[in-house]
This record gives sequence, structure tokens and C-alpha cells, in this order.
Amino acid sequence: MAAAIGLSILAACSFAAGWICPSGYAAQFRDAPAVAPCARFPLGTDELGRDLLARTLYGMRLSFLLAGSAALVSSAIAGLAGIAAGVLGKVFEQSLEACSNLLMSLPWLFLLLLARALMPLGMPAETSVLVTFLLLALLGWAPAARVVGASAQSLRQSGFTLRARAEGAGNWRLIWHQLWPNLRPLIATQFLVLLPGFILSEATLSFLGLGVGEPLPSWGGLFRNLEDYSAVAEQPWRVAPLVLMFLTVACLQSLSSEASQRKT
Amino acid sequence: MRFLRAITGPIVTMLIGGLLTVWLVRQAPGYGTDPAELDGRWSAESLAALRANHQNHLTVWRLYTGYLKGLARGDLGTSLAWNRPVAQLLGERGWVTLRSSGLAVFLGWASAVVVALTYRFRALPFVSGVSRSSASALLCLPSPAVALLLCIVLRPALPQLIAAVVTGLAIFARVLLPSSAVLSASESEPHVLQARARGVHSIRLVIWHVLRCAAPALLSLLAASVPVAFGIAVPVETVCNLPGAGQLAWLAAEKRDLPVLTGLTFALMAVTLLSTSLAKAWSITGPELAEGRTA
Repeated sequence: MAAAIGLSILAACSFAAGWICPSGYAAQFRDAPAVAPCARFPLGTDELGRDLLARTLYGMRLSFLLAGSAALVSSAIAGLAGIAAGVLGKVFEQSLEACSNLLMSLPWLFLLLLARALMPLGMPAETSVLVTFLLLALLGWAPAARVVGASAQSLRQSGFTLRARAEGAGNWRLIWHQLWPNLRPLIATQFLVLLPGFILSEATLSFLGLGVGEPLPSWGGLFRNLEDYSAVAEQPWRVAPLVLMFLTVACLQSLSSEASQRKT
Repeated sequence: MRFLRAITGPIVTMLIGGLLTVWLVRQAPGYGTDPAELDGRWSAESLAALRANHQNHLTVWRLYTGYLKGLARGDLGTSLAWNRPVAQLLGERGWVTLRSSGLAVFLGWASAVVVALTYRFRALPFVSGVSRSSASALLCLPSPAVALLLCIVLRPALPQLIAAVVTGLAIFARVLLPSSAVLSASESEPHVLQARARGVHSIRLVIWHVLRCAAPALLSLLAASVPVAFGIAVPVETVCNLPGAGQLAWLAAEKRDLPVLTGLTFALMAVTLLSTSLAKAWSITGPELAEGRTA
């Protein structure tokens, strides 16, 4: 409950970023570079005079939208692949296993890095957002598909499914009336499990300069402010985006573990 | 049959993965182009010779078979950015990563198992609470952020130590809860309950009954941690400026050094598939061996 409330507050703040910081994330206050937190700039500004609160809130919004959409697409792919593997027989099951083995044969971050490196590197910021979202969505579905596939297979052997088959139900009817209602909570749980992982991956990729490009704000981009170690000791407020990200991911992890426990 | 599938499965996956990588590399924008082509001083014949040298005319299949033949001789091509053999680069930098991450993986895994054992069998709610909360907190932060925080506290004077600590902490966080679940499952095995009822000493109970039963699953967790460690090494070595394989992957991605990326992909696939196969083998043979022993 506390996690849901915390997450709602964070999400509301990020979506109200335009109202909280009307000047926007890209506005540069050249008269105020690297200022300490004050009434005008509650989290201070960076070296270019950009409001860090605005960048943090807009970055949070981008992360919610980007990781949320990617997790939605990934769980949809996982759901479709898992159900197909569970219902349509051995060939689909083996194909799913081969595909997921292939995707999981490389460490997740290296897979993202490799796929990103094989695309044009100097792309506009908006395109970089789309590319990051697509990479996360298209490469991250394999573990979730395995879970859904295993569950679909066990449901295929269950009494009510066998009875529906005996009564002459075809594959579509079986999927729509028997499997989908039972698998829906599991797919929703997979969405919640994927979401924090995608937020962390996007942050890491952007931190390495291969994710969301400047001037768009992202959590990974904001972490680069921490690379100047001596400046962080003098300006501890630079850690604020990290604290907000920690809270967001903690709330999401807590919600996903609650959902998993409810499922079991 | 199962043994044969266990061996051929990873090899086939690696070959298909390799083919896909070569295909993607061949399709990558800028593949086979040379900055020299923009230099007006080169004659048309020289430019034609340069292009012929880049193997642009070869099909993906010919490129792949050529690459595999080279691989069999230990030749992974030459790096475009460093102008050195890829195998040499991987050997040098892989050793650095192995030194900084290898021990960290083992220590992270071992400490997670020891902590899980401690709070399961000594009923220490404080240890349980602190270790679980710290593991959950570590999972909420991206590894480069943990590395940056450590760099701020320790100063970047000891990059190898910082990389090892971050890797160890990340593995600890990922292994703690699964190992606790494994120990909990083996704790409720009938022979453990019987030994407990007979009043077997707790240390003897843990070593001879619980750990023996849980060993295959715990070893599987160790094997599964190896690819995770490399995923952590990429951003952490970049933050710590440690010249390991992780930093090499990042630099190669930034410089679009496709031969290095292909070589790294093959090497990592081999490591990941080997460790996952080991994990599978332990999880299959462990219970069978245990059954054989009791029979």
C-alpha cells in the first residue's frame, strides 16, 4: 500500500512537471550556472544553468513512459509467445525455447550495447528515445515468455482445459475462455517484474552515452553529473536524482514482489 | 539422449547467435567503409583495392564461414580502433576482468549463502532484516551508480577494488533470496527433519544434511552469476576507468569497432552458455546423485 502511494506521488509529480517547472528542462539560466538549491531552483542548476528539478522530473516522466511502454510491449510479446508455446504444441514450444536461449545467451546489458552499437550512433534525441524503447521491448521479453509458457503448458494439462477440449473447444476458444483469464494476472505480474529492470537498464545505457541523447533529460544522463567526484562532495544535492530513482525502483520492486506473492 | 542434447544445444545456439551477429554487423551502417575513401589523394585503383580488401562483396554466409575458420586458428580479426589482433586485446583485458570480478563473484555468492544459512539456522531476525533490506536496496540502484557512490567515498584511487566490491555486492544481492529459498526447501526434506528429531548437532546438520542436499542448486546459482558479473563489469569498469573486457565492450560500441564486438560476442556467448549448461547439469545430476546415494 505504501509503495503504491509512494509511486503515485512520484508519477503525479513527474506528469505535473510542466506545471511545477514551467520553464522546461532545456531552458538555460546563464546567470545561474551550478547554483546551490534555493527558492528559485529547489535542486540547484547544472554547469549550463539548467534547472535540475525540471530535468529530474522530466527525466522521471520519460523513464516512466519509456520503460512502461517497453515493458508493456515486452509482456505482450511474452504473453503471445508463451501462450502459443503452451497451446500450439511441440514445434512452437521448441521455437520459443530456442529464441529465448538465443536472447539469454548474452548478458543483458552487453546485448543492449551490441544492438545499439550496430545502429547509427549520432542520431537525433527523439530517435534515440525510440531506439532505446524498441531495444528494451524487443530484447527483454525472453525470461517473461518462459514463465508464461511454463504456466500455459501446465494449464493445458489441467482438468478444466481437458474437459473443454473433450467438449470440442478449438484452440482459439481454449485460449480466449480458459487460458487468457488464468494467465492475465501472471502477465500483469511479469509487466511489474520487467518495469524496474527496464528503468535500471535505460539509466545504465543512457549513463554510458548509448541511450537517450541530450538535450532530453534521463536518469542515466543525470548520473553523469556524479562523475566529478570532488564536486559531489561540495554539492551533495547532485545525488537527488539518484535518490528519486532509488525510491521509484524500490516502490516498483515492492509492488512486483507483492504481486508475485499474491500469484503464488 | 538428454546428455547429447545438453551438449549440442549450446553449440547450436552459439552457431546461430554467431551467424546473427555477423549478419547484423554486415547490415550495420558504415560497415566496410574506410575513412581513407574520403581522402582525395587516393587514386581510383587504390580506392578499388581498399574496398576489395574490406570484403564488402562477400555474402553473410561466406563472411561467417571465413570468420569460423579464423576462429579455429585463434584469429578473431584485427581491431579497427586499436589496430591490434582482437584475440590479443580480449586476452589482455579479459584477464583484468577475471581478476577483478572472478574472486568478487565467488565472495559475493559465498557471503550470500553464509548469511542465508546464518539467519535460517540461528534464528537471527536482526541479521535477516538487515541483509534482506540491504540486498533489496542494492537491487534498486544501477551498478554504475553504486560504483560512482563508492568512488565518491573511497576516491578513484583503487579502481580494481571498487569494481570488485560493486560486483561482489551485486552478486550478493542477487543470490541472497534465491539461496535462502533453496536452503528453506532443503530444510524441510524428510532426512533433515529426521536428523533434527534425532538431535543431531546444528553444525553437523547444516554441513551433512542441508548443504549436501542444497549444493547442486547453490552451485547453479554460482554458475548463473558469471554472466551477470560481466553485465555489471561493462558500466563499472567504465566508471572506474579499469582496462578490462567490460570497458573494451563499451569503447568498441562507442567507436563502432565491429571486429572487437563480434569477438566479444563469441567469447561471452561461450562463457554464458558454458555457465548455464553447468548450472543445468548440476541441477539435473545433483538430485539424481543424491537419490543414487540414498538408494
